[in-house]
Amino acid sequence: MIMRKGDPMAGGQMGLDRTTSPVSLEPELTDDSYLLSALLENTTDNIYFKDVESRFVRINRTMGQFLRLSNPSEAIGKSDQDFFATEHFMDARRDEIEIICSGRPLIGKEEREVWPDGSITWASTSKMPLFNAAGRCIGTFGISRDITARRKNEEVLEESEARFRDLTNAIREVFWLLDVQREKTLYVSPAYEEIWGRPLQLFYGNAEDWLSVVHEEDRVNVEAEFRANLDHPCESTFRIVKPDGSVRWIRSRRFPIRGADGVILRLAGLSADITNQRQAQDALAKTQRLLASIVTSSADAIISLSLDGRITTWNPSAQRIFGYNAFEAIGKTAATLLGGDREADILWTLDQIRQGRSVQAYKTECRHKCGSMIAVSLTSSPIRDANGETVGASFQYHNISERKKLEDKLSAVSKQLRALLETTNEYVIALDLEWHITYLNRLRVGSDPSTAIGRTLWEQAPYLLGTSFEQECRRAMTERKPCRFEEYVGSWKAWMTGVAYPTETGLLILAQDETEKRALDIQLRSAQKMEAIGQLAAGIAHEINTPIQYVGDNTTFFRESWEQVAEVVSAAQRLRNEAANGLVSQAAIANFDSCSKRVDVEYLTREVPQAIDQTLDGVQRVARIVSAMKEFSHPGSQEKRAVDLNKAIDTTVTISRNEWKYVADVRTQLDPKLPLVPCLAGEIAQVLLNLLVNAGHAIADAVRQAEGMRGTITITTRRVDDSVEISVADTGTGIPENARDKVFNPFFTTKEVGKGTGQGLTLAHTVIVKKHGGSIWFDTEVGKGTTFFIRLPLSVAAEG
Amino acid sequence: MSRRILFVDDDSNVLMGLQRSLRPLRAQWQMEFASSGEEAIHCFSLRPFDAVVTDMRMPGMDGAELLNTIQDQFPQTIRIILSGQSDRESILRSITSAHQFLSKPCDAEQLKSLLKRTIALTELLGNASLKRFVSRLKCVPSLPALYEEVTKELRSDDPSPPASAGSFPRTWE
Repeated sequence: MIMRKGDPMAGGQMGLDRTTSPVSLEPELTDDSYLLSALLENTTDNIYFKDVESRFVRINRTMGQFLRLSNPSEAIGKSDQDFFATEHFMDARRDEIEIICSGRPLIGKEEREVWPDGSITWASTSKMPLFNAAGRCIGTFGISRDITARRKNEEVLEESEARFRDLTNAIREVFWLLDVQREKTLYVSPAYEEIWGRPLQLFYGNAEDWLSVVHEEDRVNVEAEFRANLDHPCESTFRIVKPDGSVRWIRSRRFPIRGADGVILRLAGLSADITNQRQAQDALAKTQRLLASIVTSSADAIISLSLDGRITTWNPSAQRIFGYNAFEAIGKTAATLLGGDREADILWTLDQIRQGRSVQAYKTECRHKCGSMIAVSLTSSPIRDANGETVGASFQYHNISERKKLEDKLSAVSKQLRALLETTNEYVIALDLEWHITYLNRLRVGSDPSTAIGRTLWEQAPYLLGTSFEQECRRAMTERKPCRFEEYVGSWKAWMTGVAYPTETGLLILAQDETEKRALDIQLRSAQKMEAIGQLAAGIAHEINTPIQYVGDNTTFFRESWEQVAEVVSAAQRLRNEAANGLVSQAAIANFDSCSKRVDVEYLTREVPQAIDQTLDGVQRVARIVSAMKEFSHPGSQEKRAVDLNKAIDTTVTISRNEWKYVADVRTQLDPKLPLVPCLAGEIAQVLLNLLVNAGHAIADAVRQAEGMRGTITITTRRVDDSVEISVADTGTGIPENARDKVFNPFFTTKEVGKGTGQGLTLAHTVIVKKHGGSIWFDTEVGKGTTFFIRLPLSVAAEG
Repeated sequence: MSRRILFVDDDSNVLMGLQRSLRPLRAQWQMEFASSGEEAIHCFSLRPFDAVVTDMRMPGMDGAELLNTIQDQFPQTIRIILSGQSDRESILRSITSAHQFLSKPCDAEQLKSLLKRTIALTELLGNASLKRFVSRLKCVPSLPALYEEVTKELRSDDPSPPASAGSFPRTWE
């Protein structure tokens, strides 16, 4: 509405209000005035008229109320200055001068109205010039609407939008906002460029741009989730491959944004790079697993306590050591559960922890579930939170009672060992590297072995110097390997045998007195020999009995013959006496004839010398057997001596004669120049006897098969290089193929039960090979015979 | 009537010794000497002997074999062992064909008296067939155990079948 008629300034007051205004100065306006007045009365907008000096000439009722006036007419003549702060008055005045000068209206200005109390209101105002009939501008009028409430809302919104932008721009997460159809990107925060490594524009251009780089293994899932029902928020973790090829872990949360009516308006999401977090979590989890496994597998009880002393964790060893399981222990007060009469120790330790101190290997005792006290060593340290505040204590209990038990056990064992060492018959001597005696279990003379400790072995037993014992001990010490020794200790009159073992600290010598054993050995060996003779005894008896038979018979014959000869002699004496007297009686001649006829002088003359020879021969045979037996059964020496093997063979042939003479002849081809051989005469003789008896048996078997045959045993001696060879060949059955590799095995025999023990050749092997360093072997052919060969070295090499 | 005696030994010294020491009896006994079992058998084949005295161990045919043969072929001959082996028991156990065992050394008187007594005994047993039967015996047969049991039971006051009669008839042992 433009009012061009009249000059309000000139008119003084504008009577717009019909009730308050008198009849208008311009009567032609009567109808219009009424309409105008009704409008002014009822509009909710503020309407005001001002003169060129910006003084109110009329305001409507709403404006009056706005200006807190009881009657709108009160405003007439006043200006904005009377109602507002100067600031607003100035702004409004400036606007109005502009309108008056330019004649142009001001439309829709949002005016900021500052009131004297500082409060601000906003109005949307349109101001227009008022022209009089002459077209001169006589004032202004304005219509304004209070928009303070709207304006305030807008301000809040603006502020929150700004804040939101700041926030989303600043956060390291990607925030994005899509329309409901998920087709249009409404907003995406700049972090997208950093996290995804792609320009923002791509996201704005394509709402699914972010999906394009999701790791192919994850893409299907992610897409499915993304396209799923929008109603509920969802969260997913997936990998993306950035343009630089690096793979990052992303956690993305999507949620709907709803209007006040519950309808979904937007789709929003937050995506964050959690790669580092994940790595840190992995590392942490690994560390925790490691720690957990250490705690679980530790042999020590490891428990943790809160600062008030309550148990919070309890490892398996704690259960083992204290008897309580985790359910029984966790939540209990440690001092009550484990303290027993040493409760104070736990409390003291906790006190240290509260003061931030650790406790190292503190020896105390704890009570087991069964009530007994266990010796433990406690190490405790504070558990701190991220800020370094002590929030608890870890208690590590090392069970030293087990160690103590072990120590007790060890000491018991060592006591047993000591008892053993003190009662054993062996001498046990421990030496250090300088030959000092560090342990000696017994002395040969004297009762206290400790007197020897600290002295060197050679001070203690000087008589051992220069012996093979010393030699072997030194060898063990330098070569660091066990060495055996065998020594006759002259001053002890004893055979000592044993071993010197090198140890880390020196030498351990184990020695035993073998004197008695050796004596027994000798007795045993001679017993074995006597046994062999016993086996031959029947044969030998036969060999002796037979000559004695005819020696006896012949002697009987001699006695009877002598009686007859004596008669003839006495008859002859009678003849001689009578002849001496020159008178030989017929009676004497008849007597002599009768005697000599009875005596059969011819027979005696032929028989007696032969009988004497045979008798002497018989006596000689007996004598030879007896002496061979004596020789054979002689215990012999334990040392090797130079032995005439030819003689030994003769002896053996003699005493074994009865074993072969019915089936075989023995031929000997003994080298008369055979050197003496160093050997154990008795044992070699026994070997020869075994071979000879075997040969006899082999021939006997052969002769039994072939009626009327006699075999031959040929014994030969000869020198071969540095050894002497003895061969015993028989013409017996030979050794069957399947028995050949077993002949030297103990208890192997082909003889009938009761005839052979299977020991003969085993003994022969032992004696020849082990005791003399020689060799024994055989040639054999079934049906032709067997030859055994023995070679004995002429130099002493093997063990005695 | 002169008795014929054969001495067998592989050792001629033994035979000659015997011949010399027994020479005083040459009037009563006709003595011959053989140096092996085989020779002895040969002598027997020419003319049997009343007694044979043999060594045990000899090459070829030994004493046991010889006596077995003689027992079979000339059962009336008295068989005597004169052995250098001293284990009389085991020899007698294994050689059942010998009547007597003498071990060397055996003096001439002992041998003479044994031979005399044994020969005298055979003269007492005039019946040739009885002599033949007896001299063939290896051992004296004994009554079976069951006979003992039955007679014992019959002799008791209240005879009843013996417990062992349950298994009757028993094998005659």
